[in-house]
Amino acid sequence: MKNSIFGLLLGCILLMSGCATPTVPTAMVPEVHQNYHRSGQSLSINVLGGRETSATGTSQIANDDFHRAVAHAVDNSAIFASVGNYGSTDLHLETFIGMLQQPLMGFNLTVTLEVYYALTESATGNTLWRDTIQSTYTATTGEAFAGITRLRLATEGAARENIRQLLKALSDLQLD
Amino acid sequence: MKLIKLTLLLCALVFLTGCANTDFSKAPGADLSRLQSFFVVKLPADERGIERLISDRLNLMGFSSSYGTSAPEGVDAIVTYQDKWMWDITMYMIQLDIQIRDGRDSRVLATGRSYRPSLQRKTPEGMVEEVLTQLLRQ
Repeated sequence: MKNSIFGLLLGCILLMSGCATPTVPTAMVPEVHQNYHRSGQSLSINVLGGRETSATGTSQIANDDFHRAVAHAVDNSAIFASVGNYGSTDLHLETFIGMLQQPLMGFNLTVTLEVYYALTESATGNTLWRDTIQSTYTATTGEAFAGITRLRLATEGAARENIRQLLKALSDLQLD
Repeated sequence: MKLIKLTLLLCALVFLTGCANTDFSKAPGADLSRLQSFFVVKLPADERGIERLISDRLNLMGFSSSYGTSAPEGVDAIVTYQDKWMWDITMYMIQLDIQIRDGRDSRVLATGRSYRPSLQRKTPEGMVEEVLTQLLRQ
């Protein structure tokens, strides 16, 4: 009986420790170190191209999670007056996660993320700015011993760097 | 003891099988129907000729496609890819990602993925076909 319980427990531990977990929105939000240009306009955000994480796969970036991270970052930076829903804001940011390149295994795991952004005026549909931002992040064994966790950290790091570059680009537009 | 072995075997099976899946997504406003000519950029690390498989499949689908290391000017779309391989008795492709990019500015117009664990493995040709079919027949 003891052996049975031990076997089941071991099986559960094996399964749980090997499961991939999705990226965490707050871990993708960059710290705000600089003063950004402030606009009085409001912004809505839409995200496409993300993927849900399956337990037997690798950590992915879901649309909702990236949306939350970008919205949180824009809020923190105060570049725009507010972040709202599509149709009720002055500007709209369309976001497309075009490529998430992750290694299968390794000690230092480097993840590359490519995101296309397009900022448009909600009223006219005119494009004010559009660009593709590519970012990378390497997670080392010092950050996490388990490979599956290290890959999630590298993915979150690449997303954080991508959003950091987005904030700078939005600020550089010097919008009213 | 038997139960432990059985549990471990079950765990191994779970990881070996997983679930095969394919998915794709298109950038907002992207019009893939206008694309007729393609150039597949060889991944530097790829020694298996996946770029040729992708290009051949595009030609079979009725498009004009070529491949190499740097894209020429004037093509409608540039294709990039990432292939991942695993070993289980033999080497097999576990995941293939393909991006179709605008020939003018390289921005990603659409992206697709095929993920096939060991017991649901397909040939690289099969996985290329799977991804391109869903991407270009949207």
